[in-house]
Amino acid sequence: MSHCPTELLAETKESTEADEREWMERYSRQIILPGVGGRGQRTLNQATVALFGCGPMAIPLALYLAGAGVGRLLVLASSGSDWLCAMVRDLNPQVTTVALAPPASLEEATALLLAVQMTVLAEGKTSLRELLNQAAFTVKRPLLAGWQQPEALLAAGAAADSASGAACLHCVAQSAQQHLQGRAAADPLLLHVARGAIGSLLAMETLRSLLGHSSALWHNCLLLLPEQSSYQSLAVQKISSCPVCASDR
Amino acid sequence: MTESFLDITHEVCPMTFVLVKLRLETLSPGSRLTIRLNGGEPLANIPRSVQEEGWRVESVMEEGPHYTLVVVR
Repeated sequence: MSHCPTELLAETKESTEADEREWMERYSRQIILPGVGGRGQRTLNQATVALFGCGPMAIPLALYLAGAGVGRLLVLASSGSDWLCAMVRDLNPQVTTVALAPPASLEEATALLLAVQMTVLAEGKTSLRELLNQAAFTVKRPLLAGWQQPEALLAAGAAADSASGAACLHCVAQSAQQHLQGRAAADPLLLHVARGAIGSLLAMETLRSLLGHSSALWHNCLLLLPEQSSYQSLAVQKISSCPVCASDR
Repeated sequence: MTESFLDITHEVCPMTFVLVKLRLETLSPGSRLTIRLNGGEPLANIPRSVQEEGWRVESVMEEGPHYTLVVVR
């Protein structure tokens, strides 16, 4: 598996009248939506999304993005990405999938983020989230992330056009941890099942962002508390000592 | 004013409105689009949908077995 997707993003294909008809029929239910239309659908078809993970959070995320017609999905995971790519192609053969190894350095991560329109982390180690956050902050690219803590599931985002003073994902994670302090751990079975809900939410926010709509997740955190089947929105403030974004004031 | 024509009498929902919407997206302000459509579901839905997209329905006329809808942006 390669780290660098750049050479995979250049392929183009002439479309025939039959292709156009197939395109219209496949995406007809989306094209008629007021916020999508033909232009929005083509935007999705031309978009490339980097998706980290292949577990219960990544699967609905990948399938929703594929169903919506996101043109290229780069699936980055240390194992299992080929299997998820095959599932995506089964659902929508028009989507190009590429299985890649996750970036191992800041240089590789920034190169990846610059090559795609959106990066979504569906679980993974804290170190990977921190690396992607650093890269997203460095090159001012959008990043959405979902992850699990013992007490709750979380979804948050950092926008490309971050106003100075906006919190990065490091600040978000710290704020969420403080907010959840003292709360009892959730039932692991409920947490496991609820990961799919976060994956679906990440898919919705990814599509909204690709279509140019604002996302409620930018610089905010949504907590899913499975014991109560409830969501909480956590407004996040930038941490003055944040090692990533403190200098951006 | 640009004039154009679209026949959707051989289509069924939702392709009727998909074709209309895709054509409308290519037209500039001030353009007029004449659409030939069937009665029933297309006649009930297409005029309402184009108005929701910000177009003005200029006229709807019965012509033989079909209808002619004229919309202006």
